[in-house]
Amino acid sequence: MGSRGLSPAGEWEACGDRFYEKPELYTMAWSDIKLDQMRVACARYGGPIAMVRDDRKLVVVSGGITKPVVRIFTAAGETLAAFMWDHGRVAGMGWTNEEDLLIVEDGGEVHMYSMHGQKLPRSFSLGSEAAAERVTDCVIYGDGLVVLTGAHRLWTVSNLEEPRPQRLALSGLTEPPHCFAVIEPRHTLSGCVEVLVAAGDSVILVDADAANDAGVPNGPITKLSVAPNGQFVAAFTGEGKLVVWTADFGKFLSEFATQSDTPPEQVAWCGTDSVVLYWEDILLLVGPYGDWVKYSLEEPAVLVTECDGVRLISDTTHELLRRVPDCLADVYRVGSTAPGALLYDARELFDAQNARADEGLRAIVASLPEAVATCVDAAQAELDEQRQCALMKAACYGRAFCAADAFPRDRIVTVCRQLRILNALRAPAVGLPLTAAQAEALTLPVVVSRLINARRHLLALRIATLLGMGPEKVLVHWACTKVSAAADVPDAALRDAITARLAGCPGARYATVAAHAQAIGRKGLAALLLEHETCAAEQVPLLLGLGEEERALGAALESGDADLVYLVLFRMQRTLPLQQFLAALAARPAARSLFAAYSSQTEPELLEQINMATGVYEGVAAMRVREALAASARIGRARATADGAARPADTAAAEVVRLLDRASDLYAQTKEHGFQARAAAEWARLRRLQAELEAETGNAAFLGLSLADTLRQCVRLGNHRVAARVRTDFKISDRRFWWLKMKTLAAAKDWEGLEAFAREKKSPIGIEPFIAAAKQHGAPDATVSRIIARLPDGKRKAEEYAAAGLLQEAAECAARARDSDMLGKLQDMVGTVSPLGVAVAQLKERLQPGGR
Amino acid sequence: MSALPDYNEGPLSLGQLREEARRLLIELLDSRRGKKVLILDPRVSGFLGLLAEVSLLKEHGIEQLLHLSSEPLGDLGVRNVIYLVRASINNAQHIAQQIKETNRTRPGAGLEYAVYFLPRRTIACERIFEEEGVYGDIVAGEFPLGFIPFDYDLLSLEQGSAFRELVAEGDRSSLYGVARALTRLQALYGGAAVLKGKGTMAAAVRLLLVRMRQELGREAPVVGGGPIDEIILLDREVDAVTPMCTQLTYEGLVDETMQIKNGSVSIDNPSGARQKIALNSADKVFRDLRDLSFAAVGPQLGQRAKSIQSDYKTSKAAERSLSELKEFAAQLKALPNIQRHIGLAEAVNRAIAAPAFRTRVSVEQSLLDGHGLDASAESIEEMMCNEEDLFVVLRLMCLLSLTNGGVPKKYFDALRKEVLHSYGHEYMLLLSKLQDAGLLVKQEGGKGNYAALKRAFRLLVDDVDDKTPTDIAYVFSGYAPLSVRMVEAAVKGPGWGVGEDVLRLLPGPTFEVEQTTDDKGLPIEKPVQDRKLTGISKKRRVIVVVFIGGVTFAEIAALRFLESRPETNCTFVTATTKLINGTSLLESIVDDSITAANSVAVI
Repeated sequence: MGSRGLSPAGEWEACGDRFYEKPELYTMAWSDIKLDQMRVACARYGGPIAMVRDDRKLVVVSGGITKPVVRIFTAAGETLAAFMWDHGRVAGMGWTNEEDLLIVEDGGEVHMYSMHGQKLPRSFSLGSEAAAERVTDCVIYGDGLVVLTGAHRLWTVSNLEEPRPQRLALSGLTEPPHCFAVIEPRHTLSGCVEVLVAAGDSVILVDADAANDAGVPNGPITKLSVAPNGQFVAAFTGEGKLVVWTADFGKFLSEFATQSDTPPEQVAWCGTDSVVLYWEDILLLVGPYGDWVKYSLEEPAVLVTECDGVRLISDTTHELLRRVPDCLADVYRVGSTAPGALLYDARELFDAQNARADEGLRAIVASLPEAVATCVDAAQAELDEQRQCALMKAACYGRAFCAADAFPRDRIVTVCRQLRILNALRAPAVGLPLTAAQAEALTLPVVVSRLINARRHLLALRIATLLGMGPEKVLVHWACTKVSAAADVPDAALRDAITARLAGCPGARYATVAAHAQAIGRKGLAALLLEHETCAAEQVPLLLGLGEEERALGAALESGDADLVYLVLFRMQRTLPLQQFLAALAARPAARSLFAAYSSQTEPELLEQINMATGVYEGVAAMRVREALAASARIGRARATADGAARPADTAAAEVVRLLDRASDLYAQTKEHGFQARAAAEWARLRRLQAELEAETGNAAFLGLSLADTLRQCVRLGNHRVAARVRTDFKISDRRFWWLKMKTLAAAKDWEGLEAFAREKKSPIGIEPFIAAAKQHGAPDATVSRIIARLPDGKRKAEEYAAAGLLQEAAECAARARDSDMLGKLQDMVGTVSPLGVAVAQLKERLQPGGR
Repeated sequence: MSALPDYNEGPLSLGQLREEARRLLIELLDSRRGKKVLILDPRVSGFLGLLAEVSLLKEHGIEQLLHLSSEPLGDLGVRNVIYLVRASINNAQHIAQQIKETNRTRPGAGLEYAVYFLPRRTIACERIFEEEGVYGDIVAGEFPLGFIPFDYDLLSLEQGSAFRELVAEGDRSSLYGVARALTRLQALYGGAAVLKGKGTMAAAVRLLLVRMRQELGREAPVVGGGPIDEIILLDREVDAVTPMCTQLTYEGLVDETMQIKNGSVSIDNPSGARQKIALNSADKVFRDLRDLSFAAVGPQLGQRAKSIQSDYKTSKAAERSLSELKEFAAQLKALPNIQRHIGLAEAVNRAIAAPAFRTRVSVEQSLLDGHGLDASAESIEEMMCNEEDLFVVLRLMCLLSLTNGGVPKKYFDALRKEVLHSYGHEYMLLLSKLQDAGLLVKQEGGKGNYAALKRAFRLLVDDVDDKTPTDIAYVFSGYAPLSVRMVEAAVKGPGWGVGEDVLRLLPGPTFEVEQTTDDKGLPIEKPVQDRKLTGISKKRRVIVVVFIGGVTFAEIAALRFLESRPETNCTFVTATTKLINGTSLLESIVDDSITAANSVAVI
């Protein structure tokens, strides 16, 4: 077997059937750091490290400055920023997913800083209650935070973009809990943050609605740690045991007696299946099956859990403690005969020009694809560049002998590309020590965002290009940084420099750059840059910020997005003098109608002002009509509740009339609304008449009816004199009046009235409608017959008689009309044997030619 | 929940769209923990039933469903309140009022409010919350719902107020929703190569679509490769004539006489109880009958019932093979369904047997023919005397106006005055709006473009055979809907298939562009050059026809008929802002103040 040069296996520690390794990532570039005196916050995924003097520890302060300094480093210990902390006591510190630093003051203020030490405007307060109780401890996770107050209560902010402090349901604690841990919302069933609080002899599961005792028998718990996947929780008990449960304490998983009475200073997960306990100079790693490894440490260290291991940051070094991935173990384990290991050996022999290489290859020819896959995976997992290279070579060697499609061709290319990226990131100058597994969990687009944030634009751009992502984001951020840095460059020159870069990339958002320019007080530059922005939703708010309302309104209208128009209009309404605002509206009808739609429901007075100012009198008139209608409805309602007995309040009725008169006047002020003006006036007249009628008749049955219904009401009440008056007053046509009266009489089954009306004079609508209406409403035969009699003799009349079942009359009529066809039909209907039949036959006979 | 159509049998698997909507809804419900109350805008609750059954809501913790009002909330027994409403100023005011009142009357209730706006949260609504001082009590979010599938080839946004806002109020905010829904549709099914449109609103939507594609940049829907070949955008304003006419297909007449709401209709069944019948393609009988002329429906139903009966009589079970028996059993199963439709058809028959209905149809026909204007005006007047439904009367008046370039002076004021006298002066507000919308205007100068359009698009077809039609005109018994004629011409191509001069007769700009990408992969549009895209090709093309402002069932029937013709090598998907008929379209324009006053009168 080959020597397996470069093998790291010698540095591995066996733990049960698995291995752990602890390679050094960096020798720290910092020199004067004493971690044990510091409060340290390390961002996950190899992000920056922030620290500030820990005021809980007694430290000899030398020199004149007593205020603490917040220092920020890369993972390799390169200084990123340092600034004086001149706020209250620090209660907690941590990094968000976006790698912004959060510092929580004990007074409840939460300060946000960029990794470059710039204070961000998104700072907020946890509210007066939390402030009064003082914040004593705090856990910051990716997109939120949980604080513990002096009153032993918990508060959470779950969305840092829109911070709303919410109290969790922990209550009734009389002394501070031993410790607490947070399960991030993305890991909980409910999707909301849950907190594990170790208090008394047990652990309490707390969320927004409830606090439940988990019923843990091993209390008191002194340390709690939640696995990075949120599924498990590790606890250090008073008896010196490390116990692991599922995160809801539903299932006990394992227990390990440490033989130590003193609780460890830190408990951290190493990946998701082992736990690391840290005492001052000892590091104890406990595997999932109770196997363990002990490391002794020369320096104090801070533990940072990652998804595949745990990072140890000490005063001088930065190490990664992780389980050796299986693929690496397969290749490098001493005495391994896995296909991957044999392939690796074969390649080494090949490089040494040893003929046994071929022999080695033949031995594994059946499992070559598997061997290649192992080597590729191992290269991907390996941190050492030389070994990555050796593993890749082995893989390529094996692949050459594989069948054409036994191993995916582009896998090697993809992994090489990924390794190039990861190695570049891991370089001390960049200081992002990501393993392949971490990079996969974080995803490469996020890595690019982080690089941008870290102002490593060139590297970000290259990675983005390599990954086929658009370069827009990188370029825009670069432009922003450039704007900040180039304070002395004149606006136009800077604009040209930026557009030169961004021009090749049409997806780039100029608005973002402009917003940045505006934020740092370069309004002129912002305005220049905004001319290049195509997206109105981005452009409009910025134009408003620059005080360019007119331009903003134009852009918003052009975009067709009503929401943007409203944004501009509301701002203009607030900032401009009313007259100017009205003038702006008058100039743009589209904006006017949008604002009218809003103000008609919220500020009718304003709408009226706008309409008057812009000469839209019909709009104001319509408002009056609506008011009249509403007032009229109110009267109706009042009557309905008063059982219709009460007379309407005269003033209310008069108000309706007044509003209508006013509407009519307003309509009359425009050219095009003559009809409406007359209609409103007529309506007012109708209302007046109705009020009179009610007063005259003492019957509150008129107000609010339509004109037609008013007439009907008169007819129904038998008040034909008034009906006639209404008819002349409102110039109702004869036809119309006849129809209406006739139908009303029929519907009221006033047969006498109907007959009388049919007789009154020559009906302008003829007699047929009378007959139809009478029949429709079930008039007695005699009535129908008398009405039919009003028809002139003829076929029609005979038919009507027949249809009404008055066959005798029908026959007589037919005879008079000399209509033998009709008589024939009638004969069919009655048959020939009945007396009527005989009579009909006689009549018919008489009509026959020569029958006389 | 009644049977759902198979959304995936059409050219686009619309089931995906429904799944997405359901997923959004569930996400929204789950965003609040524990038990909760869901308060719905009545306009939302109607179609919500098409997306999710009540049991699904229950599964996700909804204890109670309420309709939006401004009354304070009583003791609900839960802490979480979710509002799901259209983003309208009115709704925001109601919510603010309700929260304020609840906080005032039950200060210790400790309720948590989440408000989800459909289809997006708007600045205007948030401003109302701010001004009413409830902004801090509310978590605001949005329910970005796009098209709701009504059938395998039918999508609607169910924005009932769109036509009114666009045409009568100059408020174009609803177009944004149209453009967003179309963008989402293309994101799901791939971009359309060609975009055609006619009308002011269509042009505005096109601009929005371009913008949205540009803003998406590289993430914009990829053009080509997807099933959609073309999108045709049509303003309802371009063809306002069609909805004013009485639809004479089965589904159309059911809608005209009984109003189809959210895909179902309620009728009184013989036992007197109210029965809800779902009308979609899941019902195989309805599927075959829905688009037929109503005249053909009765005989068809009779025939089906008879054939089952005769099968039954002649059957000798022992002599049948198993598969024959199975088929027969399936037929028997359809029998109650056939009976249900016989009941429905009878109800339609009763409604159309009224003399008033005949008058209405004959007035329509003569107006469409373009003769007998005076007689028509007189008939309309008589209908008012007979207290016919206001909206039927208004539809005829609008039709008169639209087919004659306005109502002649001697009738204009007289007819309108008659409306006020018969139905109440408050309708002067509606008449004003109809005038603003251009639906009911005074004749100024010429007789308008209708006569020319009639000739150019062959809108009137003589000798329509209702039973075995050969032309789309059967849906209105002799009148071919202009909108579908335009689609018919555009499908034959090239371009719009008719001359510039003809297109100029219709209001608004005309466009035809290709959606494509530049050499950097960024979306652009350019004039159609590749005539292969629109011309006759071998492949059966899929065309999404978008009616901005609403579409009638008769037009959908006409499109389906067109699709079934051998000479049409396309499949259509109809998309719209709202499923309408002339009455519901005009009703949507009625001023809120009238509705409010009338509802008081009813109380």
